[in-house]
This record gives sequence, C-alpha cells and structure tokens, in this order.
Amino acid sequence: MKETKSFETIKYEVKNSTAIITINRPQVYNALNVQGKLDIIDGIREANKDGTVRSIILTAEGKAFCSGQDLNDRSVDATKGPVDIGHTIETEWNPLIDAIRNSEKLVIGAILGVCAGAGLSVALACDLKVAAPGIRFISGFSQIGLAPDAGMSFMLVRQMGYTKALEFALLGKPLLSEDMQRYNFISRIAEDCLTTALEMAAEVNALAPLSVKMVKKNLQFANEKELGQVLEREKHVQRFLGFSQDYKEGVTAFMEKRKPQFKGI
Amino acid sequence: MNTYENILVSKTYRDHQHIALIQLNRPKVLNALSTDLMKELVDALFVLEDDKDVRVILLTGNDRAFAAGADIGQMAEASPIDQINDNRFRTWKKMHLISKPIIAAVNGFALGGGCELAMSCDLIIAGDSAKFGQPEIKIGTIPGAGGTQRLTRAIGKSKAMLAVLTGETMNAFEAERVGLVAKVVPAETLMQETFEIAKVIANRAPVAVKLAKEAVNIAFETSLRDGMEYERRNFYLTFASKDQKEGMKAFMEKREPKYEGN
Repeated sequence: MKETKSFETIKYEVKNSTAIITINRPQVYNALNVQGKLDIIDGIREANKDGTVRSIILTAEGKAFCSGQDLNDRSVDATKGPVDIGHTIETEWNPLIDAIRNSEKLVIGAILGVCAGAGLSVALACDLKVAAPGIRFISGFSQIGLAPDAGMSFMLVRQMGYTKALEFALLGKPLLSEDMQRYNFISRIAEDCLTTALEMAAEVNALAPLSVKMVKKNLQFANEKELGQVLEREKHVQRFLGFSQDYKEGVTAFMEKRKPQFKGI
Repeated sequence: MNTYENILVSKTYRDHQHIALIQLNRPKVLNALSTDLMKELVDALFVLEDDKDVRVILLTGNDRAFAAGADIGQMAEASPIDQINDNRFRTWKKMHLISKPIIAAVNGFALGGGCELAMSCDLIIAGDSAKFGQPEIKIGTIPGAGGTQRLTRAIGKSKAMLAVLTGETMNAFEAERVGLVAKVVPAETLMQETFEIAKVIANRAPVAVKLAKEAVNIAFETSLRDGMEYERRNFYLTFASKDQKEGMKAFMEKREPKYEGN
C-alpha cells in the first residue's frame, strides 16, 4: 500500500491497483462541505491520472456513507438572506456527480452506512454498488421543502418508475439495502462490503482498461438515447477497440488458453 | 511539403492516397491561434489545394483542444491600429478560396477563434467531449473572425445571441442538436470516424464534390433565386466531366464507379 496525496476531508490510498477514497467527516455523518466535494473530485482526478490505478472505491469512515450537504458550511453566506442553492449545485454537487460519471476508471461504491439527501445521489452515481445489509437510504429533500438534486430524480425514475420514485421522493420512507437491491440500484449486499468491493475491483482490474471505459460510456449512453443512436455508437466504439493491442492480446490469450495481460492500449 | 512550427501536416493520412491531415500543434497553449499559426495553416491549405492527389483535407487539434481561441497574450495590450496592421483576418479570409472539402475534427475546446476556425471548415465532426463557444464577451470584446456571422447562420438568431452575449459554452450534443455540428462520435474514436467520412467523400467524383461545396457555400451569399441559378449552372457543368459519365454508367452496370477527377 502506498500513501499518496493527502486531503483534508477524505483519505486516499492505493491498494492493489485500486484507489480507495474514504469520506472522512464521521463527526457530521460524512456531510459534505465545500472542501469535501472538491476533495472527492480531486481524488477521482488523481486516480484517473495515476497509471498504476485501474479502479476506484468510494467509501466512508464511521456510521454513515454520506448525509448530503453540510448545512453549516456552504460556499455562500447563509446569514445574508436567502441562499442560492442553485449555485451550490452548479459549482459543487453537479461537478462531483460529473466527476464520478466521467471517470474513465470505474467507481465502486462501498456503502457501509446511511445515505441521505445528495449523499444518496452520490451513492447512486457510482458505477458498481455494494451495500451492507439493512442500510437506510433516505431522500429527505421533500421533508425540508426541497426537491431531489444532484441527479437523483434521473436515477430514481429510471430504476423505480415514476410512481414508486415519486412516493419515495415525497413521502420520505427510507428504503433499505434489500429494497435497493430489489430495484437494481445496487448489485450486491455483503456484511463486509468493503472486502466485497475490493474483490469486485480486483475482477475489474484484470479486464482491458479501454474495454472497461468504453463499456461504461456505452451503457451510460444507452440509458439516455435511442436504439438507432446506440447501434451507431457501438459500431464506432467496436471499430476503435478492434484496433487496440489489448483486443489482440485478448484473442491470442483465449486461443492459447491462458489469462490475458492487458496494458490499456 | 514545407516545414512548419505550429502545425503538423501529413499528405497521406492513414496511408490513404487522397486524404490529408493538418493538426494544430501548440498543445501547451491549447492551440491558441497565433498569427504565425494561421499563416502556416493557410499556407499548408494552399499547398494541399494545389496537390492533385489530395481530395479531402482534415483539420484537427488534440484530445484537450481543437483550438482555445486567439492568442490573448498576443493582443491584450494591442491598439485598434495594431489589430489592423496585424493582418490576421486577411489570412483567415483566404480559407474561403480552398475548393476542396475541409472537415474539422473537434475534441475538447473549440472556443472563440477555435470555434470560428471550426465553422470556417465545411463540416464539423465532434467527439462527445467537445465544447463550443464564443467567450469573447467575458473578456470585454466580441468575436472577430465570423463568430457572430457564421454562428448565426448555423444555429439561428436566438441561440447565437445566447452564446455570444453570455459567452457560455455548449457541449457536443447540444451543438449537434442545433446544427452546428454534423455528427457526434465517442471522443476516443474521433479520428477513426472522421477518416471514415473523409474516405466516403474522397471516393466521390472530385469535380462534383468541388462544385457541390461551392453551391452550398453560395447559399449563404445570395438570394434563393440566384442560388438556384448558381446551383443549376454547376449541375450542368458536372455533365462536362468524365466522372459524371463514369458515375452514371457504373450505376446502370451495378458496379462501383472509378473516378479520376476530370
């Protein structure tokens, strides 16, 4: 294990080619202040720059995964009249969601504690998700007079359908890990979810990096566009991957009945 | 081919006999369009224009930027007279004289002069990471190389006003939706896919391609009636080419045509 860059609100370490980003504000249930969001974005950037890293785990210290916005630490001064939350979203939350979404290396969420508000949005934005049993997932926005943000509306309605999503968003009853699995929000539930996340990361790390990256992008694209556009994009991407060295290696290894050694080119 | 400092030119891109590539090559400054770069670009375009083997010209930058605008460093303290004497825009203007199709392949930023340069090309293919915009208003000036004119013709008044007055950028999909960009492809595949499109055009009858390009461009300069006249003249003119005879013969014989560019 090597200790690299140090951050104020997260722990960042690289273990077996996986960067582990641990949100580290347990005293406030890992609510994110301005620095918190910047640090996660920086951590993801660092992991994407590091040639030895092939995947990222996002997890948290303490009892909560992330409880959303830190109401006591905003980029705008709340004492001088109404706060422009739109500004906070545009400059902090949306860039964080985009950082996860656009990360070329998969982001695996190891959700070992409660997710609330935009903290749930962050959990949902992860590419692969594994949660501990019985964890509570709370929207909470409508209980304080707001509406889900940081991409949560999109995620909820895609997975749950309009009616269930609306009930969850409005009436505020928490969903549990088991419910989340039923709605296909998370793929696995595990008592020791960080270990499971590391096992999943090891599987991802053995794959061809270009393939991982393009599969992620293709599925995101497919989730938002129409079949005709998806067919076109798949053609473009396959042509690109077909010229990669890793594809050659993959086919050769398959023929020679050995494990491929992918290089990311 | 001459040697250049600010651009890279390859006459047979991906070994294709008829496709040339010009790559803007000032990566440290996101391909800022200095006067020298523009001079070299136009010079290279004219060399390729005169080269009988070249049928399609690709213009690109790098992963991060097609071109992030004019060289602000070069003009921050300039006077109007400095700007006039610089002759930058006269260099730009010469791009109109190229009769072969120029395809802009855009990844990353195409801002200010970069967006104007892309719009000066005949069509734009964008990687999905591309960002287009005219941010001049943010630094107290306005576009000077077609940003208010070409953009308005491409996307209409209201969208052009929003872009030019706020200086905000638009992403590749938005640019495609409003018609600034012909096609969006995954960023990683940009050069491959642009090459595929260039191959299709390079396989068409070169004279017809030139006459077609000219006719489309006339649409921006004339009334509909004059444009229709112009188009018809060019249509008649294609019948003077051997390639037209070959094209129609091949069609009837259900085979691929072989064009020679005459």
